[in-house]
Amino acid sequence: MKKTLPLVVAANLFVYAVFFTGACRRQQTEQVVVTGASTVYPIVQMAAEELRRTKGLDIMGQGGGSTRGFEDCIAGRNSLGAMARELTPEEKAQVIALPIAHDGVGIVVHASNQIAGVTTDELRQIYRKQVTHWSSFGGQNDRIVVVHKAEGHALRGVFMDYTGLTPDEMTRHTDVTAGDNAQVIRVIANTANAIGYVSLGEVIKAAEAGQPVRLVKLNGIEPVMENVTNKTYPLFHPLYLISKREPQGGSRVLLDFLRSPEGKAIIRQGNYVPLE
Amino acid sequence: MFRWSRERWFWAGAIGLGLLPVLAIVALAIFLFWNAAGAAAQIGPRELAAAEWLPQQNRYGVVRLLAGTLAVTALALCLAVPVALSAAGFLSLYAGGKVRAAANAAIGLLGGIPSVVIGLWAMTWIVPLFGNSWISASMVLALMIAPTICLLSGAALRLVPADLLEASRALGVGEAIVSRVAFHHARWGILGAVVLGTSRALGEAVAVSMVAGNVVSWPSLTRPIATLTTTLIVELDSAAGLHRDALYLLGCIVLIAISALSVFGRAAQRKAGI
Repeated sequence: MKKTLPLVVAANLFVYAVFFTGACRRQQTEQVVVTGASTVYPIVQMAAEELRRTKGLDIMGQGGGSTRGFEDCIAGRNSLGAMARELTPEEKAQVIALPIAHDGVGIVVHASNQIAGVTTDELRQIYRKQVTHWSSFGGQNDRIVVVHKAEGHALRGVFMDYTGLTPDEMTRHTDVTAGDNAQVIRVIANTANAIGYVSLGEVIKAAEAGQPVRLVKLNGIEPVMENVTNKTYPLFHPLYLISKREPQGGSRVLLDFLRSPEGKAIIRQGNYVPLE
Repeated sequence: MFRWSRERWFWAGAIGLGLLPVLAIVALAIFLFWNAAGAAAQIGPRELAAAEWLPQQNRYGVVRLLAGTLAVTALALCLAVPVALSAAGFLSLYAGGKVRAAANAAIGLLGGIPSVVIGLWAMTWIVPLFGNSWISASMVLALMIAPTICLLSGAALRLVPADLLEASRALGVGEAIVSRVAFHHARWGILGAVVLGTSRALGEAVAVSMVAGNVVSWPSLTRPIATLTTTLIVELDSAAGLHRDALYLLGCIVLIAISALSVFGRAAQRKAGI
């Protein structure tokens, strides 16, 4: 046994190495890989199901945030990157940005919270802790729990730009930091005095699924798809697919589909607003 | 000599499967260290030793995250250890066989509850009372590590020779002293149990992130707090570039701390003969 031991160990390592490289190589088969903003993920997912059925196209979506979508795109790790925010000028210079939809950002509170709505200014005061109790809005005398999204999420930047809060104010007055949309919704569903901002479509879906969360008016505008579509609802952000060069093959098929009437219907179904 | 016999196939299979976990841990460590070292080199020791963790502004100070982790873990130990040791003492020294078996099964079950379930429960029961805060996070952690500490130190206490306890009783001392004798005899095993509980507390992420608030700040009992692991959880899914590598660095710190504690805890347990 002693003599054969090194041989057996070496043989095993070899087998693992072969398996490992084999597993890596398999990824190179024709597949459209979309990585990036988790807000775009549901759209890609719905389109993938449809295109797999009708065209036999293999599309794989993965989250990871807008910035990852961009970096993967530059590094050639995906076919298309997904971004849920406006591109910075430097980013714009390096990729082709293909708008596919826009998405409202809902101001969310617990279902038991009776307030009708907030104005941009009140939102600013809440997130600066200048107003700290719901009684200021005619609600109960409970302390407002301010929920933010974590650093790196597109919506955090969108919210910051909209309210004009400084990066310092964004971190200093936070009660809870949550990661993706689902986490924010879960926190608010479990915290009667919380307020947060989430992709409108995700909140509508969660509320329909019975989660105790509700959207409130912003500047008196109802947060419904109609108002997001005609852009009277003031807080929204664009959704992009990005590519290093003019998309070809499967990527092209996916893009064309998302801009076709069927694709737009699917986008609307997910409570996003397709391109005109 | 070399017969491709059953014997050799057996060894090939056994060694192959035995190598797998070793390879997995080596690959994991290399992956983490590689990414973490890149981040550490790029950020620089001075910036790492700062308090500000503001990835959007390229500031990656880990001090407040470390403080948060230590604070949450320390308070969790303060809450869990007295309860766990009292329970372990009663169950191993005084409880009857049936009671002990039932209680140990229940405690084991508590220890086996998935952390996301404990987190969901804590969100509806603990957070309304104490807010998203240091104290909530520590209470949740205490709940998760108490079973580990209780069961492992119970095992150590049962190794105390019955003669020793009978001899103490024969001297006419009260039960308080008798149990002190037992705890003294089992001290290494108990230390091992506490250390292993601590390592579990350091690594726990999901349940804590659901109640801690995850806001990077200096620890304050009723204010939200962020730890190394909760920061990883809320930021990893959207991090890219240096931010992502900095998060790997946090993971690396946790891995090193847990490995060191595990080695120490096992050594203490071995000394106790468990």
